Amino acid sequence: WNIYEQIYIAALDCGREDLADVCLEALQQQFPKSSRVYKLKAMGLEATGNYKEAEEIYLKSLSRDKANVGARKRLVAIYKAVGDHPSAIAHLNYYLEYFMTDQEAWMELSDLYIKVMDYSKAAFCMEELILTSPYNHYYYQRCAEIYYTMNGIENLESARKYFAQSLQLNSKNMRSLYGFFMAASQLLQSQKISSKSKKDNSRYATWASAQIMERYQEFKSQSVTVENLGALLDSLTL
Amino acid sequence: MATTKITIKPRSYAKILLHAAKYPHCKVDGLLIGKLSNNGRDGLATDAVPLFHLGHGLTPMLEMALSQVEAYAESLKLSIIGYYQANEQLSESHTPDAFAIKIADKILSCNKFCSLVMVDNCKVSLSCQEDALVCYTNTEGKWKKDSQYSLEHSKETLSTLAKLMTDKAYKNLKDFDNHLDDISEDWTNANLNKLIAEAN
Repeated sequence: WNIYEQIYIAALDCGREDLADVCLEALQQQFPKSSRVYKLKAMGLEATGNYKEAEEIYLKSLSRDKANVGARKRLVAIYKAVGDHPSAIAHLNYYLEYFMTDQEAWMELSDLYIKVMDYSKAAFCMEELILTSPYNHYYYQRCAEIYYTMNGIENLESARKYFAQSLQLNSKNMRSLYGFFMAASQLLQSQKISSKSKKDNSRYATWASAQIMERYQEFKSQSVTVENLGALLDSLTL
Repeated sequence: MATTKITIKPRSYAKILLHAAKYPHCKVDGLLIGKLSNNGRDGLATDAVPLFHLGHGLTPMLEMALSQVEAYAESLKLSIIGYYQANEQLSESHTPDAFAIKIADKILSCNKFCSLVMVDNCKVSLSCQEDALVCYTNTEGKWKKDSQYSLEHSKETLSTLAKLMTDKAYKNLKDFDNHLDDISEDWTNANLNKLIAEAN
């Protein structure tokens, strides 16, 4: 019956309503009062764009059982699909109050905050994730990107530190290497930092630039973009 | 302010739609490079560089990509003349969001010309029956629909794209995100450009 459920969802993804109907009917016959099948029925409505009806089904399921994780997550998905980010954020926040170890949900919430440009809250979500998984280089990288986007000396310095931590955990993370370089060179160009800080950032940027060119050494002959890269990095380090 | 006009060449059109087709569940964006003429009022988008399908709204990788694409365009004696975006949702997908406008404003301030191109997801199909792009031009600080936009050789372009879609050519497309994951991937898409030229 798991297979029926998976084929049903796959059929919805491909727009095969005929196949989806067959699967749903079989599931409904086998499990007539199941809330899981009820959720699948609502997903079918979502797939055809009947968001209002699907929303009603999920809200009904939640009124019967507040802990119905599936229904709450699908609600968030509906709000996201119609572009109602504030509602999606509100529901996801409510969910995370009770299920605070759900990493996927924190990532989703961080993405939603970025969409509405509330970067400080997005960074908070990433920091929650870093607390739960302190060895995940991707979380540090994402957090760094958010701080970089917020701009300002302190945020750029935080960004640089998070990029550095990400690199320490995974030296192959190209985004973190580029990010570290960008943060250091942005700080270098700022008027407001101390001369010691300027020296440090210059060292960091030069190191990062050398590391980047080393990674590209292998592909030097393949593309003109690599030659351009060297010149570009030099211009940003000065 | 004089009105500007953008013409999109087949290769650019194909790459925009192929990028959107490769990641149907994500928002995708990229840049248009090409030539300017008529005193910087007319743009001809000769190529498209697909940038991201993940991590939108964040600036570091975007800044790095903009610098690298600018250097690449200059090496071909071209410049960045536009920005394209294909949103994830189906309805009203051709309306530019705050990020699209910010990026387009930035390009406009640096290059004095920018066409903001959005993909209308309702017009995207395997058979490629109609032109799915909606172009915006900046008039007095606001982005308005560009009534002078044209797609070069539209009939042939659409039928070429239909063939490329059926052949799943989008699997060959590499965007900047792919490059960041594996730097051996070529974001200039030299191989795909050949495929598009052969299909034409």
